[in-house]
Parts: sequence; structure tokens; C-alpha cells
Amino acid sequence: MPIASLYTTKEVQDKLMYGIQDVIVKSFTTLYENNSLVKNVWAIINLVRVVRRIHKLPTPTHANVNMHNQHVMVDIRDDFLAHDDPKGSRPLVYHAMFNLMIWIYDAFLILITIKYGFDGHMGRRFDYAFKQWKESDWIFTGKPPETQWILSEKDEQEPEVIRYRALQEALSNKDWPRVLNLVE
Amino acid sequence: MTTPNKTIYPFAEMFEVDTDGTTAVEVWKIPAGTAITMVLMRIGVAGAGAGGSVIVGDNDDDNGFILAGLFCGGTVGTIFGDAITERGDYLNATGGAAATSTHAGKWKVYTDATKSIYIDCDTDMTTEATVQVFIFGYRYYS
Repeated sequence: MPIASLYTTKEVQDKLMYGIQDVIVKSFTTLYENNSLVKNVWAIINLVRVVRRIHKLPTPTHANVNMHNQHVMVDIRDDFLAHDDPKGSRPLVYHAMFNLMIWIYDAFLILITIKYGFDGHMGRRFDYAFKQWKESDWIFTGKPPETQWILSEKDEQEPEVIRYRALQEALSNKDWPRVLNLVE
Repeated sequence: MTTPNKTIYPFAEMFEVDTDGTTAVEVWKIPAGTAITMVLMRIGVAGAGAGGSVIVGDNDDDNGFILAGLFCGGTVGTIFGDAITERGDYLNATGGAAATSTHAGKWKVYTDATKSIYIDCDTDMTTEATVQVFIFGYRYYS
């Protein structure tokens, strides 16, 4: 396992610091401070440019990250993108919006995966936030997204998916005792 | 032979209604002596347009049974209210606001016939959705 990753090279560091991180901070500050319309439009344009720059960075993979939690993040991203189906029944504009969301989400995961590896200032804060989340009483419904989501064979065997399908069937059959048994 | 006093019977009712944009639609005039323990909603015919969120509640709390944030134009067969996080204060025992329910978020009792169940959408769709509302609980007679 390499001690340093390609993300710690000066070339990538410069891009991260000056082309991405500084621009994000400056753009959000502009939007936050209720500036003129022109300034706000430029801030939004700069944020779009940031996302494009992030996508131009080398994509984190198991081969080029070296910390345990970075590997976890790579798995989370790959799993999400494997399930997400952009070819849904929605109109073209929704497709574009949906793809944009995935694009931004992907950029976000790329950024935090990279930053986590060498930026203790941010990485420890992520650790703290995730720990608090994990220890909170957050409820995971287990219900998969209804639309544009691909269930794998393994997903089909998940208890929550089986329960939800059975509930749909019980409601259709007006099998009320079974319905009540299938609701949390 | 004596007459039973306050005898309790379980019930399950199903209603099919069309959404009417941002106008609340009355689903059921709740009879006196009703305890509602569960409300589910399922999309029968998907709406078209900008979608929107749908809520289910009564005269006092318009999302007391099913919370907003749910997609009214979702796919046919989508069920709302079966997960704890989708339930309103009347039926969500985990929420801090569960005090508005009759008993710690587990059920809602209606002693007289002055209230109704309503559904409402937060937007006007180009084609309204048809939803099925399933109401479970107990009737009691005093």
C-alpha cells in the first residue's frame, strides 16, 4: 500500500486548493451575503466550473486511495451509481436534472474521498459528523427509491423489499390482517 | 340478556379519491367513537406535471397521519405511511410532537362526529392523481 497517493502531488494539490476549495468558499460567501444579481450569477457559474474541475481530477478507485475510510467511500459511490438508473420514464428535462444531480453527487463524493485522505482538518470533521450521525437515533426505513433505481438480485432478497412487495399485494387483495402484520 | 357497554370492534376502510391540487379533499367523515391506529395511502393513478407532496390529516392537523415530502406524482403502487418516518404526529411515537396524538403517537381517538380525514397536495398538477386511502382502527359504542 503506498504511503502517499497521487492526490498528494503538488499538481493535484494546487488544483484542489486554488481551483476548487477556494472557489467554493468564495462562491458560497458571495451567495450568502445577498450580493447583486450579477455577482450571484458569477458565483453559480463558478460553482458549475468547480464541479467540472472535480470531474477532471483522477477518479478515486481502490487502486489509488490508501485509507480504510476512503475505500469505504469508493464502495458507497460505486454502489450508488450501480443502482441508479438514469434511463427512466421521465421527460428529457428530468433526465438532465437527474443526471446533473448524479454528476454533482459524484463530484461531492470524489472531493470528500480525496480530501479525507490528506486533509486532517476536514477529515477529522467528517469523522466527527459521521460518528454523531451513527450514534443518533436516525431511522433507516430500508425502503428503496421508487423510481429510476435498479434492484440487484441481492437487493430483491432484502427483508424490507420482500415486506414492501407483500404489503402491496395484501392491499390489492384487501387482506387487512396481513396488511397490519406487514406494517412496522 | 344485557347490552354490551363500550364494546370495541376493529375496522378497515378503503377510500379512492382524486387529488384536487392545493384544495384539500375530504376523504371520510369520522364517526363518533373511532380510534384510528394506522393510515396508509397508495397511488392508484399517477398524476402528471410538477408532482408535489401529499399529506393526510384531519381538521386539526393537516399532516397528522402522513407527512409531506412525498411525491404525489410517483409511480402506481407506491405506498406511504408504512414507514415510521413517513407518519405524522398522530401515529409517530418517536417524534417529539407526538403529544398531539391521543396516546403517545400510537392512535388518535375521535369521541364525536365533528372531524374528517383530508388529503391535500402542495401543488396543482396538469393531471391529478388518484390515491387509495386505507384507514385502520377500532370503533367503540358506549
